[in-house]
Amino acid sequence: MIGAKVKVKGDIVASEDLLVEGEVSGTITLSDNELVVGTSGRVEANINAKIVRIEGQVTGDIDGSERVIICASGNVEGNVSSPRVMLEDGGRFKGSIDMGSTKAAVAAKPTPAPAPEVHSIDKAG
Amino acid sequence: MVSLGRKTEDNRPESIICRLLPTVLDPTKLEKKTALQVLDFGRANSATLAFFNQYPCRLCVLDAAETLLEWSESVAARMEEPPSASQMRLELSNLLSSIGDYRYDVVFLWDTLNHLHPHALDAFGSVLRRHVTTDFKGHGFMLHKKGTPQFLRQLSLQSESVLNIREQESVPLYAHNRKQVNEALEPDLKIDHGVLHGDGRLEFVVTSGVQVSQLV
Repeated sequence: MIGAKVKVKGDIVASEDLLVEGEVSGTITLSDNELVVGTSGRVEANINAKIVRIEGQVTGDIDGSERVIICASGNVEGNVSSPRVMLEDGGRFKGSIDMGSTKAAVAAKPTPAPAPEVHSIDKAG
Repeated sequence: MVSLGRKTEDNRPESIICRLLPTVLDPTKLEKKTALQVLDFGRANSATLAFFNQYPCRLCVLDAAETLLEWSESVAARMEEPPSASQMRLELSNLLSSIGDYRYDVVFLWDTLNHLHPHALDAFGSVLRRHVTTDFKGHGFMLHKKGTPQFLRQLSLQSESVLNIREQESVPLYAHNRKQVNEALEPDLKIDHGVLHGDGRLEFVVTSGVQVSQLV
């Protein structure tokens, strides 16, 4: 965990789940793990993780190999690429959401992959 | 005239039934696109995301309403010495830089035209022309009847023919007539169809290419 009073400048690479409540600028790479940007988290970074859950603020591009969730308190400015993008009502997002590139990449594998899907969450949870 | 859909308890409309939206979201046409490019001038919301999840696509969300209203206010303040056309294009391109170097097949304008000062219409037409495909369709609304209540609305897709009104806040907007808008969109784009709604707004579709204009 990166606490609310911690500021990190640089590249973070980890092989475990990470909760960011402080400030991070640089890049964050958690290829097989989950990143949570908590309600007090402020991230200016390109993010690459299996699951990205945003409850705070993110400026940067997000690549979620499994899913990206923008919560009701979340605010994202950047481009999102993921097979599953979830946006809770109240969550703010500015940028592009690519629902095709991951599908194309997965489709190239011999085994069929589930089609990209976006789940609606109608109430903040 | 087309009536509004469901209303809330205090008689505000909750949804809009659109006559023209199905022509923009015709699944047989959208499915033909291998990588559909969608430009949304409105705010991101789960309903619109869920709708486009049906298609392999890239959805670009600009959330531009407040930005454009602020800019229009600054344009109004400079009208004693109006900014040149090139300056207006430059300022608008910078404001809408998230559009990127893409051309879009579907553009949701929502109420964007009424967020623009009249002096900004030409610049908007210029920016739009540079970012649409030859067979694109744009959909939106504009104030049509005098005295139409002016709101900053957040609209989202419910289906191919119904929009949800998620929030609306009373704000002064910029009214334009259809002729002014068409002049700004020329020579490549035009309002191709228009349907007058019961709330005094014109629902319209913008297309590129020469097609027979029709007022339903």
